[in-house]
Amino acid sequence: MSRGAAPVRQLPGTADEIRARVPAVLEAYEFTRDNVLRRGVVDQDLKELCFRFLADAPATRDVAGRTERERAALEWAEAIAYDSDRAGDALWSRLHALFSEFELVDLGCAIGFELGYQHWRRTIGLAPRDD
Amino acid sequence: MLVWDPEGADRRVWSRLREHFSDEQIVELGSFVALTYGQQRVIKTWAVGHAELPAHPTAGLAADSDEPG
Repeated sequence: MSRGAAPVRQLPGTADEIRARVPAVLEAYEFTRDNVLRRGVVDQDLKELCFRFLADAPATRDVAGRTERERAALEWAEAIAYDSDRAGDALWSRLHALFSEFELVDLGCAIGFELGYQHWRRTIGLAPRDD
Repeated sequence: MLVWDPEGADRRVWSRLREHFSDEQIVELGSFVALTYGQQRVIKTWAVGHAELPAHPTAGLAADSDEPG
């Protein structure tokens, strides 16, 4: 998953303007955004930290000063994005100790949706995130 | 390309896509791949494969996903 030069933009407009070319695509995105990415049972700041990690924000690579929940969430995000084998018994033991199962479903699905959306944006030459 | 090397979707890739798909179809197909890719990466860390959730054996996104993928 290299981060070479951004490809030439092939579809004009913002991400939502591009999605709007197919109304069902925009509707599906807005549903996941409003119900999973921006809402849920997990603290929104923790989700945003994981989303910035997926976008390769350098500040998220330094775990010094992070809480145990933040560290475990970032390690899980790394496993989801790059190597699922890293989500072994040791990490799962920590995740279960730090999060409820409701939170794990919410956080895991949010990371998955965001990962896919960021990759989709990158293929059309957009930055992984708007911010 | 979307999964493994998003920045590799260069003019050549887009030119080939446009030989076979309209822009609207490209938007829909790309969104489908993105959604499926992200959620499959999550369930892989649960040690669950595509369409392997025991309570919902036909829960895959594909319309004819009766068989495990």
